[in-house]
Amino acid sequence: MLVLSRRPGESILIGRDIEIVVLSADGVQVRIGVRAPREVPVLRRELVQQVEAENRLATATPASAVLGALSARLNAQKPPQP
Amino acid sequence: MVGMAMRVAVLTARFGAVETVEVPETALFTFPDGLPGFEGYTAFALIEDDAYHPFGWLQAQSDPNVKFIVVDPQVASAGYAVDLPDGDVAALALGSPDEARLLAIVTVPETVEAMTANLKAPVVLNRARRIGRQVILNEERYALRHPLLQPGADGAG
Repeated sequence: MLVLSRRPGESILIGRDIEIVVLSADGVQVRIGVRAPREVPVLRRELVQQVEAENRLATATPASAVLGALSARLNAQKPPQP
Repeated sequence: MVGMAMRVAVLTARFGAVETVEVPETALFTFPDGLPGFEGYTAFALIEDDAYHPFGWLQAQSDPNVKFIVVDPQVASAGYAVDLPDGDVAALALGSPDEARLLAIVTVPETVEAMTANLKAPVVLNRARRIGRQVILNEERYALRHPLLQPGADGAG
């Protein structure tokens, strides 16, 4: 991993199209600005990890045989609130 | 015969034991990037069985044990509408939003009634090109675990 030190107001360029700007730092939290092309996804790492973990849970789901009963219940209940 | 879609055999362990299910060719999708946590799985079959409506399965073709229960996000939250990020739209080669079909992956915990749908990262399918991808949304409105069954839904509500 490349490690750089930056002060608030300074930035890092990744490739030619991505810029990471350190906006402010208060000792506990750092505010970071990201300039990137619209097609480049920018996500908090923990969100990606949460989705990965949820997918692993989802595939390990117990036998789907219960779905018959649940589908009947879901079809019978009132439409959900948005 | 004209108009007959070819049917393809798919191995699935959706109910525990491995069984063979037939799906139309149009239910096979390529997921170039797999799914988060399952990047190596690039070929999936969408198994839709009227007996289990509104649930279906997204079944990896290379491993019967890699399967995800899926549901129309509208069933979890009426009016579910999201802006797909540009990168995902491009990766899916979507020409317009109505070429997309959205599915939410369902997680069923020990307490089955507590089952949830992942509305924060829907699976998006390009129906015409048969390409799929799981899109992680950056927005606050929808939850990773959206309860599917309403409390007191057994007639009391």
